[in-house]
Amino acid sequence: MKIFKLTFLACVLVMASSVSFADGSMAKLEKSVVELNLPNGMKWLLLNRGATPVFAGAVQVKVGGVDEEVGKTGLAHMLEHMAFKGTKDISSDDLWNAFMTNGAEGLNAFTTKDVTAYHAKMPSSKMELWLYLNSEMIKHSVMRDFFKERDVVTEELMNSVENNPNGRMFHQLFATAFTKSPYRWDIIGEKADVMSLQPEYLEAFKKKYYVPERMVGVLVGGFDIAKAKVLIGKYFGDIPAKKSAAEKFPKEPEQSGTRRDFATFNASPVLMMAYHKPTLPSHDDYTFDLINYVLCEGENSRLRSELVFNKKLVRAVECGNGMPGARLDNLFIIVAEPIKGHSYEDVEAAIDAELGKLKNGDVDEKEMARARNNVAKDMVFEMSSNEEIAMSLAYYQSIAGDWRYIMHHFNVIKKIDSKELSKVANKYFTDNNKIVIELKK
Amino acid sequence: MIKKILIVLMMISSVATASSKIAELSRAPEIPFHPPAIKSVTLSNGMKCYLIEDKSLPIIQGHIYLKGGTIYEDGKKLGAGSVMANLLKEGGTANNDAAKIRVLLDENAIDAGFSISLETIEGSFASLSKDADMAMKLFFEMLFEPAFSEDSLKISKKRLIDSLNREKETAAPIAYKEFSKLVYGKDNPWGRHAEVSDIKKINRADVVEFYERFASPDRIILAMAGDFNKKDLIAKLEAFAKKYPKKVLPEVVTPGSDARDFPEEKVIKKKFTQSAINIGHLGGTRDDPNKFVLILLNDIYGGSGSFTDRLKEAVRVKSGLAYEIHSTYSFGPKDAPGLFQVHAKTRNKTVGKVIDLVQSELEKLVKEGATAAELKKAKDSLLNSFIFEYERPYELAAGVARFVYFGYPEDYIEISRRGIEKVTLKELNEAAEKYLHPDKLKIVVVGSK
Repeated sequence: MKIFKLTFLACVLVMASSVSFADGSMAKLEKSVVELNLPNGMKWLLLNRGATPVFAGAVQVKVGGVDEEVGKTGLAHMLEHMAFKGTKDISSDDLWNAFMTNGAEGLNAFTTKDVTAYHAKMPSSKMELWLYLNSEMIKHSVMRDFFKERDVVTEELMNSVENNPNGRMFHQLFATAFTKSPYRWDIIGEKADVMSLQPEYLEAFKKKYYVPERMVGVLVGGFDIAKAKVLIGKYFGDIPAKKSAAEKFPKEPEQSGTRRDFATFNASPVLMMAYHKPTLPSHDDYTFDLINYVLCEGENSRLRSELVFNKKLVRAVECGNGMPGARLDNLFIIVAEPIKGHSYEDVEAAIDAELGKLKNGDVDEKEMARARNNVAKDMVFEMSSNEEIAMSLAYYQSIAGDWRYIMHHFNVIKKIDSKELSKVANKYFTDNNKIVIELKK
Repeated sequence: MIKKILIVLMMISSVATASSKIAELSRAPEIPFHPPAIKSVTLSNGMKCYLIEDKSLPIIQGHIYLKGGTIYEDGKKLGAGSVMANLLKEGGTANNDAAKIRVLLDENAIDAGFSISLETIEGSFASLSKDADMAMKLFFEMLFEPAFSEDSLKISKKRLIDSLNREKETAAPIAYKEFSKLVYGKDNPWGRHAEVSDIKKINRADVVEFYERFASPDRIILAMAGDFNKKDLIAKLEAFAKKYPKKVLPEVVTPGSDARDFPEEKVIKKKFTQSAINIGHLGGTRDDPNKFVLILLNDIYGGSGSFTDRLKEAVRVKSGLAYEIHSTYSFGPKDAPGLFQVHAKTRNKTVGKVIDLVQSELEKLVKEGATAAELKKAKDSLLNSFIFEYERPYELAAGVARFVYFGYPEDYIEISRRGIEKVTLKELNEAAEKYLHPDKLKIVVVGSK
């Protein structure tokens, strides 16, 4: 039960394509996905592919860190842990043994700022068992051994945030960048909050958010779709329909001036720079997906070739579009690890210079084509296994409201030219919109 | 009173319903599946290839195992292998300098990279199938015609040193390194680790010397899968074979370890609020007839993916002492056994408690043995998930290549399945006594105790 790791590449929502290869794969995929809408409001996405009689399954709930309140942060993640504690009728051991002895692989769950997902791969002959066990976890999980599990989660927090330089940095970055948005606290929650969570908080939270309307199920692999539909109805059809609570998130006020802060940890330097931007499906978000490639992805991307190889300032540099989530307006971030002997000022100036070039329209059509080709390649690879396809379908269904978002991403991306890239760079890469966090000993 | 009895009855009946439901659904018959036979093709330069056509997506992927590894580094030139592995990709080639290689990889959207471990040198490449020819050309050029440019060497050393420093800033990587040093000895090839001072000393000649000891096509096993026609691909690979003939190289002699197990403890003081703990002793060898018994034993003790093995149950589920706790049992060559090690993280004040539980659970397993139910559970988990070995053609090809690299037969997946099936409780409990030594544990704590 891991938290989606907020280090470097994870959470990067880039998937796009511009060449016919990716285009063709996506079109084929789109035609094969079968939708099933249960009367209670839960949606299922089914895809029959692959010769091996195995499948990847996921149940994803649109509930995450953003749905928590101050003082009770960490609820969504803790609830995810408790789902594995069994039900009134199924002990925790029996639940685990039922999955594992029947060949489950990668049985796990994760929580992000936006969603919670439960997933595993199993032999196709065990699909009914998987559906039964997952439905029981969603419908009837109990607060068994709650306080011991709270200690386990505290240990998890000490590992991923308290004693981890990158964890500290991300914590500070989001706390500095956001003043009102619920993106300002960690997925795992504030330590004091986590240590005082109570079972009744979780139960109330579950009642409010674990409703069919917020759930999407996905099955991808070698199986019979008609049979699967019947079984889904049998195990998930009886969850009572319930109106989902209206979402009212405070709007993040526009930033007016560079924000600078630091995190403290006895470790080598890390620099994080970030800029506010709108989330998907805004047109500018697509452009940022392309900017990410021009700057950081690909062997010869600008920041990588300039900072790592030409100026020799950093060990590594990575970018991310859509941090820390995508249900609300988010950040484009740049993370760099300066090599000893090079100051934060030097590295920041070098990054600023590269962003300046983007603003001045330095990217030509050849470079745009290269970026698109890389985007296309990554997209095909990121949708190459049952599990990856299942995760993508569930994710975009929850976040964009329609899994087809990812299938059509290409049609938007291919129309973005270098002029638009520079327009977006000028609009968002401004001093007023900038956040800079340094790691200090 | 009647009401109470009724409630109890209802509870019992609902429990029975849930467990019989699980039992019923678990009995669903397996869907017949015939695992494909994997046969190798050997090129004229001696390179052995496992190639699987997979037209499901317009991509290709490749992976190589080249005989070599950090255990073969000269003790006075530690890090030469690691620098070499970085420079294969980043040091340019005879035809293209480092910057040009980056441009070519980028333009053709090719992923490529090389790495080194104790016993392997590995490389991999991936691209859309329309760029496959370029991907193979560049990959073999990097592998067989590296330039190891001086400028790239400087950058690579700096970045490697920076990585080594960063590794020392969190508890777990320190614990793993210190544990292998403690078990094998800090100067033994199996226990030593290149330090910053070692990397600083590496020069171009050291890198070239290391490379030339190992790099010959007849010492390579290649795995490839994806959207290609196998016959056409073999013809293309054969053209590369003509270009890159095999070389006559000195025999590779694998160093042994004379390590013996005896109890020892090392505390590395750090100002973390949570400590990392590694506990264990020597592991097994790949030729051990009890290999499958040991895999099951480790699964029962702490190596399963489940929360119901002994360590996770005792330390995590019942005590709430750790988020992360697991054991691994690895296998080395004949004269250098692998490692049996438990890794855990817990807040500083409960370090003693976790160590006690790890020890007492091990003692219990050795003295009282595992139960028939535990053995069945471990077997079912492993046997029922074997099918996933065949799920992705690329992983299958690379997996078979890896087994063959380590001296196992091509059908080792099936041999493993049968081996695990056959293990008896008697064998398991005899092995627990013979192979696990709760009185000879090495303990490393990074943090405070």
